[in-house]
Amino acid sequence: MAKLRTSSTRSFITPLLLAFIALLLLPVALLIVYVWYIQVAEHNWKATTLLLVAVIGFFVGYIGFLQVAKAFRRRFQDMIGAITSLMKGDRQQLKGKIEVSHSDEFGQLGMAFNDLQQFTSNKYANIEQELQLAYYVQQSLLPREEYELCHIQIAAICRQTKVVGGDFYDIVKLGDHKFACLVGDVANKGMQAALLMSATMSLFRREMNLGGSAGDILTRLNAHLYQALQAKIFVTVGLAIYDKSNGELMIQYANAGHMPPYLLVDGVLTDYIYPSMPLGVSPDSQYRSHSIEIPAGGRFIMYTDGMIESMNEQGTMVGFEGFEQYLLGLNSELEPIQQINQLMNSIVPKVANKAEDDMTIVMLKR
Amino acid sequence: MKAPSYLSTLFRFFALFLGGASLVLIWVTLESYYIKRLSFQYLMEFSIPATLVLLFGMVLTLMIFVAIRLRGMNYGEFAKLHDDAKPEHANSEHASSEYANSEYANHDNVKSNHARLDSLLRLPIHLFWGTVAYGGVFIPVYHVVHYIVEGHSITQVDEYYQLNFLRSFLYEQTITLIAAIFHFAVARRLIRPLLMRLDHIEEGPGQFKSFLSILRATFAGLLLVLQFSILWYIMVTIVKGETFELKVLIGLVVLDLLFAVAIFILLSYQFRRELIILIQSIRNWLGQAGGKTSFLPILSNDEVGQLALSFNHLQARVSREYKELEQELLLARQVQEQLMPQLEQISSNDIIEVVSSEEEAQTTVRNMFYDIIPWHHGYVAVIGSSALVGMPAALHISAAQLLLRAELDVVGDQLGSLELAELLDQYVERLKEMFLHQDRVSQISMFSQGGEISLALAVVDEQQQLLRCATLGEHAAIWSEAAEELSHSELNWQYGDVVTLCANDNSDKGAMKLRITHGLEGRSTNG
Repeated sequence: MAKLRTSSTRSFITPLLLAFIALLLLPVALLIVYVWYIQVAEHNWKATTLLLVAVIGFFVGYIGFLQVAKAFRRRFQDMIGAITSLMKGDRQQLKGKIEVSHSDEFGQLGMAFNDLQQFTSNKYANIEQELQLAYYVQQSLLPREEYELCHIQIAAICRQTKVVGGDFYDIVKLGDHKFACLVGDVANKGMQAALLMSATMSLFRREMNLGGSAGDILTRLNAHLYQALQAKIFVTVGLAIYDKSNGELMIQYANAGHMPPYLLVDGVLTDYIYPSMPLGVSPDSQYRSHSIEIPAGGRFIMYTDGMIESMNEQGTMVGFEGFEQYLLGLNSELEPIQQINQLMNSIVPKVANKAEDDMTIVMLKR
Repeated sequence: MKAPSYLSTLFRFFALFLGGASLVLIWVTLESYYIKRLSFQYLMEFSIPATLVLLFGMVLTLMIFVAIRLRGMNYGEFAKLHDDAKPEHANSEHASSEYANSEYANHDNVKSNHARLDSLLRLPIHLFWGTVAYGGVFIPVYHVVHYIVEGHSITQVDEYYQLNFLRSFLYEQTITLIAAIFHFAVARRLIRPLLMRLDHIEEGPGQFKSFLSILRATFAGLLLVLQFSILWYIMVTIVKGETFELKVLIGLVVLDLLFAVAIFILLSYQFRRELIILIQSIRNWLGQAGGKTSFLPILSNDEVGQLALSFNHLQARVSREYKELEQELLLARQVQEQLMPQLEQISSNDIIEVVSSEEEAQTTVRNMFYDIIPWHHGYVAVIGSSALVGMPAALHISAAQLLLRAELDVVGDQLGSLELAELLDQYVERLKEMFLHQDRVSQISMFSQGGEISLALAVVDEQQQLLRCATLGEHAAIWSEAAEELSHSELNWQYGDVVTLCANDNSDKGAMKLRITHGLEGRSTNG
C-alpha cells in the first residue's frame, strides 16, 4: 500500500466525503432542531409533523448528494469521452492529449495518459516523419494542378487515401504546339503502389521525350514495365496527346486498361471505351492510338477508378451512372479547376475523410 | 502479481461475511439496548440467539453462492494456461509480462477470459442484492417467530406491535442494506487480484452499470439509519413516558455518523485505489519504456472499468495502425525485391558472379538497389543508393533503377567509354527532369544539382575483355581486390578478378562484389 500513496496531491475523496457528511448532517440537524424546539416550547408531539420533517430532510439530503455523485461521475465520463473522441480521428489524432483540469487522482491519471501518448508519439515519430517526407517526394513528382497549354485549359487533382498512393497524372509540354497528359493507377494501394508510381512516371517521361504516337509510347512503356513487374503487379494508364501543329483539333488517345474517358459537349456526355490490357501484364501488348475531336467548349475528362468506386454518404457506390450525373451537373461557367474540385468534394466530402481508394481526375477544356 | 488460491479467496470472503454479520449483530444489539432500552437478560432470551442463527444462515448462504461462483474461475486451468504460454523462457522473469502483452491467447482463451471477467465483475453487486434479499425475507420471519414465542396470538396483533413490526422491518432492513454495501465494497477489493490476472481484455464486460446507484444506495441507507435512530429514540421515550435527553440524542447521532463515514470511506477508497492502479499501470509501463501495447485491467463494470476499456481500445487502435504501416512497408519491400534480379539465377553459368551483396537489416524499405542488366556483349552491373532513407529513398531508387534499365535496354552493341559517358549524362538529365521539374505541386525538392542518387556501374565487355567503370555522385566508388580505386577507369580483366561496387561511403551497408568467372569459356566451348 505504501508505494501507492500519493500524498503530494489532493484526493477527490476529501471533497466527496465533506459533501457526504454535510448532506447527512443537514436533515439530522433539521430533525434535532425541530425536536428541541418542541421540547423547549413544550408543544405536544405530532407524529405526522415529525415524520414530515424527516421525509423532507431526507429528500433534501438525497437530492443534494445525488448532484455531488453525478459531478463525481462526470469526471469519469469526461475522461472516457475525451479518450473515445481521440479514436474518431486519423492516426495523428490517436496520439492526441486530453485536458487535465484537476489535481486529484483524475488529474494524475490524465497526466499519466498524456505521458503515454507522448511516449507513443515519440516512438513512432521517425516513421511518421518518413511518411511525411515520402508524401513530399511523391507530390514533387506530380505537375501542378493548373495549366494552359495550346489554348487548352488543364486542371488536375490527385487525392491519395493514405499518405502516399498509386494514383498519378502527368502533363508534359512538348514544344509550342504539343502536350501530353497521362492519368494512371497502380493496382495496389499505399507504399508499394507509390514505388511503382514513381518508376512508371519516370519511364513515361523518358518515352514521351523519345517521341512516337500515344499507342507507341504505351507499347514501349509496357515492354519496360513488364520486364520489371512480370505480370505480378499492373498499372492502368490513359494517355492523351494534343498536337495542334497540323491544324487539327484532335486528341490522340491511347488506353491501357484504364477507365474510359469522357467528352462533355453542350450537356452531352460521350464515353470512349477502348478495351485493352493494363501495362505490365503481357510482354508484347500493342496499344493503338484513337483520335477524338474536341469541339470548342468541349471538356475531356480522364479519371481513376477511385472516382467510380467511392462510397457516397448514403454508403452506396457512386458507379458510372452516378459519376455521369455528377459530370452533367458541373457548372461549365467555372474554371476547370473549380469544376473538378467541386466534383471531388461532392463525391467524397473532404471532412468525411473516408475515401476508399486514391482518386484522380484531370479535365482538359478547349 | 500472484493470485490467491481458491481456498484462500474463499477464506477471505468468509471473513468478509463474518465481518458483515458482526456489524449487523452489534448494531442491532446496541440499538435494542440504548434506544429500545431493553435489558441484556431479556435480549439473551431470544433476540441475540435468534439473530445469531439468522446471521449464520446469511454467512452460509453467501458462502455457498461465492463458492459456486468462484469455482467457475477454475484456478488450476488458469495457472496452467500461463505456464503453457511460456515454455521456452520458463525461467525468464519477463516472460509472463511478455505473454501479458502478446497477441497470443487464442480465441477460446479470450472467450473464456471474457466469461470469467463478466462473472467476476458482477459478483460484488450480486452479493449486495443477495444480502438485501436475505434480510428482506428473514427479518419478518424473525419478528413473527419472536411474537409467537412471546405467546401472542398471530391473528390479533395489537397496535404497539404493528408499529413495532414496521419500525423493526425498516430499521433492520436499513442495517442490512449497510451490511450489503459493506459486502459490495470489500468484495470489490477481494476480486481484484483475480481480475488483475485476466490479461489482454479488449472487449470488456457485457454491459456497464453506473456506480451512481451504489453511491445513492449508500447515502440513502446511512441517512435512514441516522433518521430512524432519532425517530425511534423519540418514539420510545414517548411510549415509556420519559423525557428525552439531548445528550443521548447527540451521542447517538455522532456514533451513527462515525459509522457512516467509515462505510463511505471504505467505498470511496475502492474507487481511489482502482484509479491509482490504473495510474500505476501506465507509469510502470512507461518506466519499462516499451514492450508492446499496455492494457489496463478492467476492475469493475462501472465507469472505472469503462475508463480502462476505452483506454485499452485506444491502445489497440494505435498498435493496429502501426502494424498496418509495418505491413505496408513489408509489402513495399517485397516490391523492391521483385524489381531486383534474383542473384542465384545470375550466378550460375554466366560471366559474372555476384559474390556478396550486403544490405542493411530488413526492417524497412531499402534505400539502395542493385541490378545486373544484359547488353550485347556482356553485362552491366550496377549498384545505386539514395542519400535519403526509408520510403522517400524507395520512391527515388525505384524510378532510378527502372530508368537505368530502360536506358541500357536500347543501347547499341557499342558501349565504350564515350557511349557510357553519354548514356550516363542522359540518364542524369532524365533523373533531373523527373525530380527537379519546375512546375510541381510541391516546391520542396530533395534534389540538389547532380542528384542525390549515387551509382557505381561496371560494364563487363566479353568481346574486348574489358571492364569499364563509372560512378555517379561523390559517394560511389569501385574498388579492385587490391583496394585500388577503379572509378572511371577501363581495364582488362582476368578470370577470377573481383571488383567491389560501393554506392555509398559505408560499404558495409551496401556493396556488391563481382567475380568474373569462366562462365564465358564454358559457354563458348559448348557453342
